[in-house]
Amino acid sequence: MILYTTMPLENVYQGLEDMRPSYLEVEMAGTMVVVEPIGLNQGRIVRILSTDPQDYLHPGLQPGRIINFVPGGG
Amino acid sequence: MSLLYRDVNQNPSQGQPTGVAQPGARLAGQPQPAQQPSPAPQGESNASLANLQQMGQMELPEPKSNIHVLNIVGQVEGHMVLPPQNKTSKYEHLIPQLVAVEQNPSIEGLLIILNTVGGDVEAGLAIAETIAGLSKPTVSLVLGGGHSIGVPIAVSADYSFISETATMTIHPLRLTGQVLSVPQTYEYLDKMQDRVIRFVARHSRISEEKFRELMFTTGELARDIGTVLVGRDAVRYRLIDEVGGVGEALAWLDSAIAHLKEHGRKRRREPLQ
Repeated sequence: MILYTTMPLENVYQGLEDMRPSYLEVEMAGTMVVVEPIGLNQGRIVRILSTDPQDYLHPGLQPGRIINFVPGGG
Repeated sequence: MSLLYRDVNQNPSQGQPTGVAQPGARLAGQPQPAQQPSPAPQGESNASLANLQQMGQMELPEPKSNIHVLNIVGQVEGHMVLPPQNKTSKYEHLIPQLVAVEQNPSIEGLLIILNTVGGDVEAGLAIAETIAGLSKPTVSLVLGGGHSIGVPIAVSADYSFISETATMTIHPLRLTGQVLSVPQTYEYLDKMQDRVIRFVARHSRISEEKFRELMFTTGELARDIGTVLVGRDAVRYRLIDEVGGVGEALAWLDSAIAHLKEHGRKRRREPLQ
């Protein structure tokens, strides 16, 4: 991987070693999305896992969107 | 334990779950029972269960505008997730979006707005090649900055604009480039750099020689060799087609959409008459 950027690399990579992202794959109404849990019952959409290109234009599935998890029984 | 998700941006007053989320459902390979949703939290009525089943399907996106805007900001992110202080444009999302733009019949044109400091070479070139391969009219506008790998993305559209004060930095790859898990030979970096140079020369009116010359200019940048082109300079070197703003870019796009409908072929690198 080569970065071609005007930003100094020490600024780009700052904090890389301490970064421990945890991701969760969940299904949102038929589409798999990768969610980064924030707090106990919330998650931020990181990535869409779908082969339907129109899913990538769906406003409800845009990365950055916060979704709420409600712990259920079972 | 199963998890329900609630869409916080929809009907916050009602607060009803609108779908079922199951972590790792695909990996575990468990088939989703269509008729039997996961047990609902205690206290949920049958009515809300029925509602949950009904709303489990999201309607298809219906674009309201006949054009779409692709905003490329910060670092173009490739195979590595960058630390959170970076604003990033992620190629794994941008490329399927471009496919959707090509496929969706109600989208007629694409405006690409760039304000980027560069980023991953392969991801940037992949985005640029995808834009160049679209059959729908595309126009790009450099606002603020379109540096490094932002340059091939800016020229990949059918026609390019740059705002008066926007800048584009053209510099060699090897001085700020970093290679991970690949033997860093000079030849390898040189090859990567040639890919960028050839793409830019093929998709704009600047020659390979001139672009290379700008890349290796000394005395302009304090810590690097290269050239900073401000607005009009980029047009003077024929890298960008025209100085303009959102109005000019949209006018060009509208005319290109009309041209495609009328003549059945795309208008490329021709100014608006």
